[in-house]
Amino acid sequence: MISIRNLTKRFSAQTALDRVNCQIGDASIAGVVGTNGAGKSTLFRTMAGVYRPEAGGVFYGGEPVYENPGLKAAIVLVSDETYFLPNASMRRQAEWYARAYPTFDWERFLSLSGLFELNVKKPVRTFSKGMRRQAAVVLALSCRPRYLLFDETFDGLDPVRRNMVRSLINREVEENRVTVVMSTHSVRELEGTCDQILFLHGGRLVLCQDSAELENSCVRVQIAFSQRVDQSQFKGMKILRFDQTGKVINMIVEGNREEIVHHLGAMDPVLLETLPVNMEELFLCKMQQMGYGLDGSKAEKGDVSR
Amino acid sequence: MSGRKFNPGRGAFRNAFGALAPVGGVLTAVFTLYALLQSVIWSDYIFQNDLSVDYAILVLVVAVSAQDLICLLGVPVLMLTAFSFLTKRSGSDFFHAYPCRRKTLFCAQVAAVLSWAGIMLGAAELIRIAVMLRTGFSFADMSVSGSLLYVAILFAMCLLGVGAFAIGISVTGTRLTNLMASVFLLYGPGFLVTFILSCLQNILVFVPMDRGVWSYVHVYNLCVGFFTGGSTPYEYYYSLYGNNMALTLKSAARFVPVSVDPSQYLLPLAYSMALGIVYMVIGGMLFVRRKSELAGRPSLNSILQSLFRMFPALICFLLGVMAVLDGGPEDQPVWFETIWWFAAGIAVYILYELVTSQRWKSALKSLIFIPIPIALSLVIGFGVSGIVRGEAEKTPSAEEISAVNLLNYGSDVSFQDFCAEIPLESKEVRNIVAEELSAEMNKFLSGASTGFQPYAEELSAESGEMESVSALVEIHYSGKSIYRYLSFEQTAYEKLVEELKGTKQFARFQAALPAPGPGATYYTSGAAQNLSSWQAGQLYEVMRQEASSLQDAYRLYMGESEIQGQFFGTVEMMTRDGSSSTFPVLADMKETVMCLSAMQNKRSAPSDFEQFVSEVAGDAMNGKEKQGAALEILCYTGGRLYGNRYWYSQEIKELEDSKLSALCQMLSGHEEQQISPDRDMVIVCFVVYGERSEKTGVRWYNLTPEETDALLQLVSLHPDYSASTF
Repeated sequence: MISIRNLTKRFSAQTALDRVNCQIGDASIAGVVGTNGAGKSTLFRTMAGVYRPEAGGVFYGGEPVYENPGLKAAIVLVSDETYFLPNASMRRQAEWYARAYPTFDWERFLSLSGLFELNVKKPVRTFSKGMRRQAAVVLALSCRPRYLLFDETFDGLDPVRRNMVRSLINREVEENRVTVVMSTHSVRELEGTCDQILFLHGGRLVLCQDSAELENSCVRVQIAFSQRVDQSQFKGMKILRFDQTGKVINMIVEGNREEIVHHLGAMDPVLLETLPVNMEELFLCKMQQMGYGLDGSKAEKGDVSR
Repeated sequence: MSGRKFNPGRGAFRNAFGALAPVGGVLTAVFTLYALLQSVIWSDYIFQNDLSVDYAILVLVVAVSAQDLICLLGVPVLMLTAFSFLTKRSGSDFFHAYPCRRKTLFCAQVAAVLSWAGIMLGAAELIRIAVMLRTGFSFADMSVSGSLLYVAILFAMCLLGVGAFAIGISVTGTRLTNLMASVFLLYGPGFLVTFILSCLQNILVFVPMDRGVWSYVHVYNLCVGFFTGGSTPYEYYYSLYGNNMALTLKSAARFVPVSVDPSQYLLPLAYSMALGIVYMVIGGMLFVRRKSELAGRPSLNSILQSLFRMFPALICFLLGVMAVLDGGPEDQPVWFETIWWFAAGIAVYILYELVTSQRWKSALKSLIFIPIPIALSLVIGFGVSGIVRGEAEKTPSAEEISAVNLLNYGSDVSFQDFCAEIPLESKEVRNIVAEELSAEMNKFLSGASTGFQPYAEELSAESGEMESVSALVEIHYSGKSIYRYLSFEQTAYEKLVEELKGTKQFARFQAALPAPGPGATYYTSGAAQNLSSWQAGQLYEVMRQEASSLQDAYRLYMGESEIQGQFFGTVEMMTRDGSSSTFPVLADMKETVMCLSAMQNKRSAPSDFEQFVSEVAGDAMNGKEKQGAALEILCYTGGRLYGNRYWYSQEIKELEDSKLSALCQMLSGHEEQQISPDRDMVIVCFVVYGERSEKTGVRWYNLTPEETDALLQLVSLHPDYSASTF
């Protein structure tokens, strides 16, 4: 289990991570989403033992990661900016990894390289951005770590390769009980992949929840009444988004679906329909709630995590 | 996976070594090629000029070897490459996520750099040895001690470079700032010492430079020494002290073959080595604590950025202050130089900020803090000058003075060293010294108010007008010691000498010296006084040490020269056309007796007397010499020049065959191995001058007193002969 406890990281006067707390279960996939500058990459670097936190820490099975070579040998970070040794080919880079990670699997490296159709003898600098990302993923998976940290995993990958990477990650989790933490700007990427979702905003963790729970925690409702009603008449309901077009109201409500339907049914609507809420909608609602509006205004810092 | 136990440190080293392979490989090829070309050129030079090995080494000392370049360029390039990941965020992430401790990562990177440096040095050295073996010209010292010393010096150089760069890369996050910080660390201390010495220049004529804590400090830093040893800026300020650079890399490595006392290198070597280790440890500690987020940034925060910005500017400002303190030639305004340096300092200050932040606004905003380095330069400059002045102004009274030592009495350094240990405590001596000290002080103060130059000129003028003796004295008072050059009137000085000679220590030592040999007349070079028996004894000691260590035939010339109180020995090397060249081989090393070194400058010089006669003198005797040819035989016995004899071309036949045969017979049984250091040693030097004389031979023989007498009679040497050579 990965345990992030009261994690704080500052860069001079700026606080990049502010008292972040969460736990990520073993053999699971956790997705980290957040606004620009929310601290996602900082979180990943701190989780990989690159940054030393000012307070708190990241613990894997109870062990702190910073300056812990034994533990770091079980973690591979694929950074948002891929790095390869100057003029190195994938093979040379693999040799480098093999000397660093005792579990490095050459067979897997060659098979994955073949799968992604990557020339292991060609200098990586000649690869396209997407190919470099694929190379980084191949090398990371070849290390057979217990923990995989992917920052902006799917950045630069075409849809086919995205699916391949996604399925490989899923297989790693299922077959080898690897714990994966991945971040992305595209929240939809995480749908159906992640077991757990972490929302970061302004250096604070605003939400850390099981993804199934999260999807069930809100419901999209389309409702219409014979006469016009306004939002004030939905007292007692936690409405995340409210859009009204004439007599038809579209809203996202937080809570149990049955209870919401029961409550709204009692208001005698002419139309009542519920739909599942997708992750992106939820993210947008949360961000809007935080004041990170569509007008681009900065959000106020406030912990609304559960 | 192999069955071998996984070792993260070893893996990190192999990775670091492998990552350096492209750069290391190219550098190795370049430096090896350089070594090859240089070795071939040197060999050809030696061959074309028919030079002896030792002479060639002295001549070639001015050249920058591949090894020097490896230490001074190769190591920095390797360090910047090895730690280049620290200048990019992605690289920093990659390496800091590496499963090993930071300390291990640092050690692995440094070890990889040193390994590549070792490979480069080894390759260059192998090439050099290969060329030497192929051509037969050993233009480098191949002795075990010399090689070990050379390796140690190179290692110290590498350590210094690696250590300084380790600190530089740990405190900054871009290549430019890495380089600037490291170079500042390497040369900054040397500059500061140079600066301090510059301030001291004002009182050089009064307070000796070679005593106290300042002495030689700048030469201990081998990197500093390398660049300052023969460089124009250094020579500009301290041409006199350039001799001390014999302690630094270039000369230390090459002067070994002609050195008398290798221990003189150990202290500077130990200093450089220790400094390198200290830098390495500090660099390692800073690397471990270095924040990863520094990657790609010139500094971690604005305070550090301000500090880094101030350092290069401070150097310029200090140079400006130095110009004020030094004064300058009368025809050149001092303020022009000062203003120039201050303008340069401000430009450097702005430029640094502009280059690192890439924002004009930030560069201009940083000007708010520029008064800090300016004030600092003024405080350091005038502070040091004030301290120095305070040191110079110490004038204890006769009552306060407990004892006085005469440090440069006599013309021989060994003799001076001995006399320096004898304290003079009489009231008369103390009075004389106190009065002279007070008088000198007044002169200094009046001169100092208008700068150094007028005072120096005044002294020079005075010395020409009146009979005075300048002496270096050590004055003890209140448990302290100060050193001063005092200009005594002749009578006052004689009183000091009289007191010195009257001491028991002086008498005891004199009695222990070897008894005078035949003739009992002592000759020195024309510039010096006749030696006392004690001086002769000391020279005897030195010469017999020299003789036992020398392996080739030499012509030895021991002279003494004086430049502002500094003595040095010289070696005169005869060339085939009869001309000679002289090299200073000794600066004012307190712990070293007069350095007597000699060398054979031509490979073709005869190695024994028989060869000499057959190849040189034989030709001369047979009338094959052209006009102007001459044969010279010099004899030293009992540590003294007994005499010498010239046979010019028209007289050369005076050396009859029978005499030559007798000489050959007498000397042929005395190989150099038989030389033993005793007072009856005879040194016979054979020199041929002249256009046709292609051979110059000098040989040292150890003869019994009887053989000596026979030799002297044979060549008709007379002790009263006034030699121009010792």
